[in-house]
Amino acid sequence: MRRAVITGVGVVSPAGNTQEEFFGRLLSGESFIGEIDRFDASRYPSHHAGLVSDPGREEIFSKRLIKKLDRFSHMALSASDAAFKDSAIDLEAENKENIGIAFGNALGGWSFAEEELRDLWTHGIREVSPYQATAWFPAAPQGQVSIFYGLKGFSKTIISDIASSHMAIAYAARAVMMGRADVMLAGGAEAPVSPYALLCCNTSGELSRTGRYRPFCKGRNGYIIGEGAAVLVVEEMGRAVARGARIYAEIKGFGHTSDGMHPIIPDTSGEGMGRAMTMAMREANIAASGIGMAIPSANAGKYADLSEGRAFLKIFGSGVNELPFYSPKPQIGNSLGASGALDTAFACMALNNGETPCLNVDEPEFDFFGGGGKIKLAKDNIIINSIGRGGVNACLVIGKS
Amino acid sequence: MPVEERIERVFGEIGIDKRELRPDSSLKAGLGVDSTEMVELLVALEKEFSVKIPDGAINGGTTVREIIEYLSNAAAKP
Repeated sequence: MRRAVITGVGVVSPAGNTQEEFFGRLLSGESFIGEIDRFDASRYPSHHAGLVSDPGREEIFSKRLIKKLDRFSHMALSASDAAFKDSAIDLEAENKENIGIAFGNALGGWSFAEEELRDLWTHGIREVSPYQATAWFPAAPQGQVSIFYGLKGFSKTIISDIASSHMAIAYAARAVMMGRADVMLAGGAEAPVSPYALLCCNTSGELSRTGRYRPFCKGRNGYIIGEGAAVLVVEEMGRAVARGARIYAEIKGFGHTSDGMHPIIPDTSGEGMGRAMTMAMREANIAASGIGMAIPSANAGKYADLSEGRAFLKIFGSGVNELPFYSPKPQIGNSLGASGALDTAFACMALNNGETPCLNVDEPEFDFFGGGGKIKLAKDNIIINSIGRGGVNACLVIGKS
Repeated sequence: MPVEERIERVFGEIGIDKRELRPDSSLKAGLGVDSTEMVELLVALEKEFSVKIPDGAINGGTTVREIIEYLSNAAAKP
């Protein structure tokens, strides 16, 4: 049976674009959420976000290319470049027919599209950029990365709200395990801080209006939006070992379920989320006692947090009190389709560094989500959850082989 | 402003620096202009020179020198 391991990690995030910045700053507890200053968002109920200051790599991607892209494709290119470099794969020596892409995205490229729609309605069809057609749609990052690096293997874009890139990583692992590809770029990108996209996020009712992102607190009132991208190099284990690659983690198991009840609200019993966790742990052949930390979806919704908290109680029983919990989201925002990849990138760095910060939950809804600080990882398997709108549940278990 | 400079500016908008422009470079083979960039270029030239460029008059094989000649003539017409 072929096995899939992660051998490269690249991020573009509000906490920085290098592993040292991203992991170090998250570990320090610093928050990267601020008032949106890119346009006047003051009349939006939720007007805070985790903003990326630099979409990155101007020295690699020409102005001629960047002007054809929305921000989310630009960030995906930068994160892909960082991931490839980190993996030390020599692309020129590779058969690119065996390298594919699995990316996630939820919203598409609205920064680009909004200006073109304005021009269409105010000036007519000749004022619309010809790049609109290739800039806005959710699979644009997959296409641009494929073209830039000449990757010709099995590729897909997965759209599943907050779970998009989380599911894309599982999809990439499956492609490697089934022998459809030897290497997959897996991850996602999201750029939701544009006037229209932010409005849509606001009207869903899921965003915090207080500027505070407090998952699992009794006073939680939604998440704060974030932007960013994360890309992992997922590689067949045998060839990764043979070339002496640094292996961050093996993708050991995953589970995907749907609540099938409501357009926005997940099933508060946690049955669907719990079932996804059971599937992932069973496939990984790891018991609850073998998990060293959990990265919950931490949506900070009234119902999503109940679903997730109850799922953890169900699966971990009394062991849940010893389980460390952490999520980067309260510090960098919830970047929807990129969030699962950013969470998994963080998990790789935590395994590599052997330590993690812990969630700081004041007024806890449950008594186990954590009291802040940082700890050394006692066991080297991490469980990562993503809950998309309406209860699209995804669970991933990664760890040292 | 001379026609050459106006054309350089239009190419600049597309992200092609004037230092890349040689009189003999053709759009496709010389400058790597793809079909979408061709649409952007034609619309931008039509706007800059207030002319209608018929289909095919400027195409992938057209050189920078030919574009200058074409637009000098087109712009000279009343």
